[in-house]
Formats: sequence, structure tokens, C-alpha cells
Amino acid sequence: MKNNNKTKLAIIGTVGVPANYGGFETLTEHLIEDISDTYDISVYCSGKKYQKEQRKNTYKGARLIYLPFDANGIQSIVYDTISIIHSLFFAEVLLILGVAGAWILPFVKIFTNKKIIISIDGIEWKREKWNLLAKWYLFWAESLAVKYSHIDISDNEAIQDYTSARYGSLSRIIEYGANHAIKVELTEDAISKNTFLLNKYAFKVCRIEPENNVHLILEAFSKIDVMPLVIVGNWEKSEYGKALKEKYQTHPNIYLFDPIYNQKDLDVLRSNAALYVHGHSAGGTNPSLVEAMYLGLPILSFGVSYNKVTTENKALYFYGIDSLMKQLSEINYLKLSHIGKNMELIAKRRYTWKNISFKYKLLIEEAILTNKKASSQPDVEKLSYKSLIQLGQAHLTSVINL
Amino acid sequence: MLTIYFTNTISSFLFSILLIPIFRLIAFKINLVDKPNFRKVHKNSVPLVGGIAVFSATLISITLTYIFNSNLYIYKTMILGGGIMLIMGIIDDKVDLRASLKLAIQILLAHIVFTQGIKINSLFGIFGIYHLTPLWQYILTIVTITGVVNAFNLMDGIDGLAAGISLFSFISLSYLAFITNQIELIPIYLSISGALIGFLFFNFSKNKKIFMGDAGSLMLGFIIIVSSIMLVQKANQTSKITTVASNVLAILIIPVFDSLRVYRKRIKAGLSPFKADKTHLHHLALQLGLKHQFATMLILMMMLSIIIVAIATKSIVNLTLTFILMLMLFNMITSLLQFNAKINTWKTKLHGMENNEFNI
Repeated sequence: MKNNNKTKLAIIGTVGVPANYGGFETLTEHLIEDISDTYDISVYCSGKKYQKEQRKNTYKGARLIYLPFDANGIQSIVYDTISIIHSLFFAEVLLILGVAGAWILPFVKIFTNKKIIISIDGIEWKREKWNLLAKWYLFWAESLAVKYSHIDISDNEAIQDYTSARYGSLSRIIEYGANHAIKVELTEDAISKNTFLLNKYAFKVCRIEPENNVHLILEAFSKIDVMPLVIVGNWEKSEYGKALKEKYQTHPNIYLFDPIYNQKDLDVLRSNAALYVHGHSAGGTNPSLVEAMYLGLPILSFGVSYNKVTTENKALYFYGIDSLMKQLSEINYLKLSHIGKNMELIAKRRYTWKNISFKYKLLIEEAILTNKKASSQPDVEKLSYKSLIQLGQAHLTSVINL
Repeated sequence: MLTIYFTNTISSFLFSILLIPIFRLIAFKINLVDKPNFRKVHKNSVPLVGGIAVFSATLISITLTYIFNSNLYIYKTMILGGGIMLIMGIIDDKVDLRASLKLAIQILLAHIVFTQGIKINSLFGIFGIYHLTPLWQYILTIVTITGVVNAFNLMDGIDGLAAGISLFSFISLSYLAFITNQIELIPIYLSISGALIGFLFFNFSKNKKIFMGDAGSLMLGFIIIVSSIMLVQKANQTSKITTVASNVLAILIIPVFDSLRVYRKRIKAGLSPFKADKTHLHHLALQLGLKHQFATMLILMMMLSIIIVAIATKSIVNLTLTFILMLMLFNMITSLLQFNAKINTWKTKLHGMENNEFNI
């Protein structure tokens, strides 16, 4: 029996729950578990990913609403838009994950009193995988998402810097949780399948895309015989992946796996690695990175700001093939173990779902109580240059001039 | 008769491809070349002889025609004026003339054009304005000639663009000359077109590259605007006026309104409107990731679409509305290109932010 006094919250933009997919879905699942006692939650789910017999009316106390569209790709625009319109009939707070449906937000903000919280999910328009028109749309949609929401969420401080520079918005940082990642002990069965498990090895799981620097990592490990490298990913999906697989699959030091759908099998490989190599150069806080940190794996990461912020600058970093080879040739296992411990401490402090859900709860409360969007710009920026001159304060202009 | 005129195109094309290699060699000897710098896209010195070649080939070709057609003499103002622009441009290409001196020469030439009776004497109902007072005729003629000449000069930023726009313009002008019964003008326009085609071969070549130079763009801009005014003047009071006026506007919209857009942007940013930067239409087109020839083609397609709007709407709506529609099309395309450029700017900024150390 639902309590009608609860604030009604709609979660929009995920594939749906039960979560089988990415970061947003796992987040939704944990939000349902942690805050559905306070809020009456409805979640929009993609009918394309949940067959009729799998569908449920409610899940862990949340109402599920299925729409017959894909949550990703071009259809996500329709999916998110219809979800937003539908939610206007009942929800008080809209938690929108991703910017695909943001074109409609100016209308929602102007004509309704619904509260909008939006997570912009990394800097999507910059990603190489989009064509020109998609980039144009995402760039525009992101600007509407930030301007016409009551609160916008970044999953990383580096993205917060970007939204502040571009929009003057004080974006709130909420990262991802990682405590669903499980450490799996080695079994004889696993060892018999993969003998490299007996020794030290480096591990990486990711989409096989150039922006994840897979080519660079493979090249370095093929040249330096420090430890075997194991990579799990969708090699067959692109020419890039196929070419890399063709080139490196016979290398004695390199093990390439296609996607592993059995979580336990994947966890065995991941949690027993001596080094986690993280090559992501795009996006904000990567769920795979925080999960590896939570498992206490030493991290060797591409040195972009997002990854440095996530690992609090306490991991090992590389910037190109030379620095990666240098890091590999200087590997010291005592140091690695120290880094692993540090990563685990950070993850246990920052990347637990309880912590993340609590932050979302605070934001929802704030959104209910406020009408004004928080700005990162000092109030002096609102004055024109002319007024500043008249006040004798012209030196205060352009405090932020990026 | 018309077929005879096409021999002008062929002869000036042949003259230009004969003359250009010779002019190239001379250009290297006398150092009439464009040296690469940070704003320029090319890496080697390139001879600035396109304008000289186009003008010379045209002159030879029409002189041959002139033997059979003495009517050409009445267009001396246009040809002589073009020649003076060319010489001024050559000197500028060689030693960089002061901007104020160049402007003074352009105004003087515009004044001479006006005194020869070539003037804008009416707006033909655009925004409800018809006949202009003599003072306004003078002001508008001078401002338009100098404005258009400089606008053409600014379009000369990537391979093939100034020549392509001029080629499209001269083909349109030939058609307008034909329908307004000024067929003596056609050999001039078709000769220039032939020479421009010859120029384009070299402009796009890797090993024998040449540029138009200020000489070329100023000369072509001058001939195009003086021709436009003459054709409109002649069509005034006839049934052809809407066709001529709308086509002339279609030819001029891209160079003129792109310069106005860039000037406005610079003034808004507190800079001099003449400070060189990388915000012209062709720079925006290059930001799509296109190669030179495709960026040029995109802008020429844009010009063609504007000409189609002019042709398609002239019989349905009045000149004011046609003008507004053409401007809207121009504005829509440039806005999209500017939007794309903005994305690139943020991409660069982000790259810097991503790779800097962040305080934690």
C-alpha cells in the first residue's frame, strides 16, 4: 500500500530495472533500495530491453513504466521526451539521467512547477562515436539541460569545472557507487580455464574504442614483458576492435576476451589482477574505475583530469605510449600494493551506494525547497562593465574569463 | 550570335593557361608571392598572379572581339577601373599599402564611376523605397562599390572560393545582360569566366599553385559591382527589374553580409572591424572538417541555393520579401556553421581542462 503523502519522484532516461546494463541503471536500482521509503518512485523502462514476460508493475516498491523505445541512440530522444511528458501528470520531482530529452525542458520549466534534477552524464557531445548532427544536438541539449533544470549533477569535479565555465552553473557532484563489486577468490576450476591466473597479470575491461586508448595499452604491453595483459571487450563491434584483435591475439603476453556476461566469471578475472589498467579519456567518473578501486586494485590510469580526480591523484598515470612504457618498466610491487590500499580507502569513503543515495536524497529535498538555480559566478559578474566603471570597480570584471 | 561569345570563354581560358606559367616564373623572380604565416593554411610561398592572369587573358580575348564589335568602348569605365584596382592590388600584394590609402583610391574610383552616370538611383521598392535623392544616390553608390570590393577581397581565403563566387556571378550577370538586351556585355563576362576556369586549374594544383592575390579579388569585386549597378539601372522601368534586382542581390549576399557579420562581431568584442581573424564563412566551413575544395563547394552550393530562392520567389512575392527570404537562408546556414565552430572552441577548451592538473 503506497503512502500518498510521499513526494512523487520519476526517474527518467535509464534502460530500466532490474539493472543489467550501465551506470545509470545500477544507480537507479540503488536509489530504489535506499530512498523509496521516503519517495514514491516511478521508473521509466525500455520495452525494447525487457520482454513482455520479464516486465513487472513494481520492483522493490517502485512503479515501473515501460515505453516501446530504445533508451540509447537516436530513439533516446523520443524515449526521454515521452517519459518527461508522461511524468508531468503525476510526479513532483523529475530526476532525468542524460540530456537526450532536454529540448523539452524549457517548456516544462516555464509552464509547470515540476522540479527538474538532471545528470548530464559526462560530456557526451565530445565523444568520437557520434556523427556531426548527433554532436550538434547533444551540445545544444546539454545547454538546455543545464539552463532549464533546478539542479544539475556532474559525476566528476572536472565536469563541474566545465559546466561552471560554460554556463556559470554550480553543478553538484555525485559520483557512482562501487560496493556491488565482489571480490571472488580463485577456484581450481577458474585456474584450469585460465592458467595466467596463477601469476601476476594486468586487467582491463572496457568498450573497444579509440577513446579508451586500447591500441596504446596493447602496444605497450606487447613491447614490455612485465606481466601478461588481459582485456575483456567487444572486439568484433568495430573495425578498430577487429584490427587490434587480429594484430595482438597471438601475442604470448596478451589475452583478449570477448564480453563475459557471467558476472562471477568476470569478477574472478578482475578481482585477482595485480594491476588495473584504465585507458578512458572521455566522460567523467567511470563506473569500471571506481569498481576496480573498491576491489583494492592498483590503478594505472590515463592521466586526464577525470581519472585523476576520481583516484585523488594517488594512482599511477600515463599520457601516451612513452609514459605508459616507462610506468610499466618501473613497476614495483610494494608500491603497487600501497596504491591498491589507497584506492580501496578512497572508494570506501566516496563510492558507496549508501553515500551516493544520501546525496541524491539531499538534492531532491533542496530541489523541492528552491526555485532558484545555484550559480558558480560571483554576483559582481551580473553587473555590466559600464556600471562597474561608474562604481569605480572595473577591476572586478571578467573574474572568470576562459 | 551567342555561340560566338562562347569562343571568348574558350580563348580566354586558353590564354590564361598559357600566361599563368610565365607569370608564375616572373612572380618568383620579383618576389610577388604569398609567404605562409600563422593565419594562412599553406606551407610554401605561392605566386600571387591569379588576378593579373585573369585580367590579361580577358583583355586579350575581348580585344580580339572588339575588332568586330566597337560597342565595347562604352564599358571603358568598368574595364579601366578594374585595371586600376588590379594595379593597386599588385602593389599591395608586393609592399602592403596602408589601408587608408587603399580606401581613398577605392572611393575615388567609385566617385569616377558615379560621375560617369553609373549609379544606384532607386531601391525598386525594397522596404517601400523607390527613387532616391541625388545625395542618397551618391552616398549609396560610393558605399556599395567600396563595400562590395572589400567584401570580395575578404572572401579570398581558401582555394577556389573567390574565383568560384566570381564565376557564378559572371554567369548570372551574362544571363541578366542577355535578358536586358545588353549583349555587348556578355563577351566581357564570358571572357572573365573562361580565364577564371583556367585560374582554378592552377589554384587547385599541388605543384603549380597560384593565388588570386588582392589584385584579383579587388579587380573582380569592382567589375562585378559596377556591372550589377549598370544592369539594374538599365532594367529600371522595364518588366525585368525584379529578376535583375533579385539576382544581383543573390550574387552579393554572401560576400556582403558575411563581411557585415564579421565586422559586427569584431565591434561587439571591442576590436577593430578590420582586425584579421578566423571567423569568415570559409573558416567556419573548414571547421566542419572539410578540405578546401569541399568547403568552397559548400559555400558555392549556398550561393546557388540563394540564387534559386531569388528565381523561385520573384514572381510570387515582392522584392522585399525575396530579399528577406534570401537573408534568412544565409543567416540559417551561417548560424549552423557558427554553432559548429562554437562546439570546436569548447572542444579545445575542454582538452586544455582535461589535461591540466586539477587541484583536489
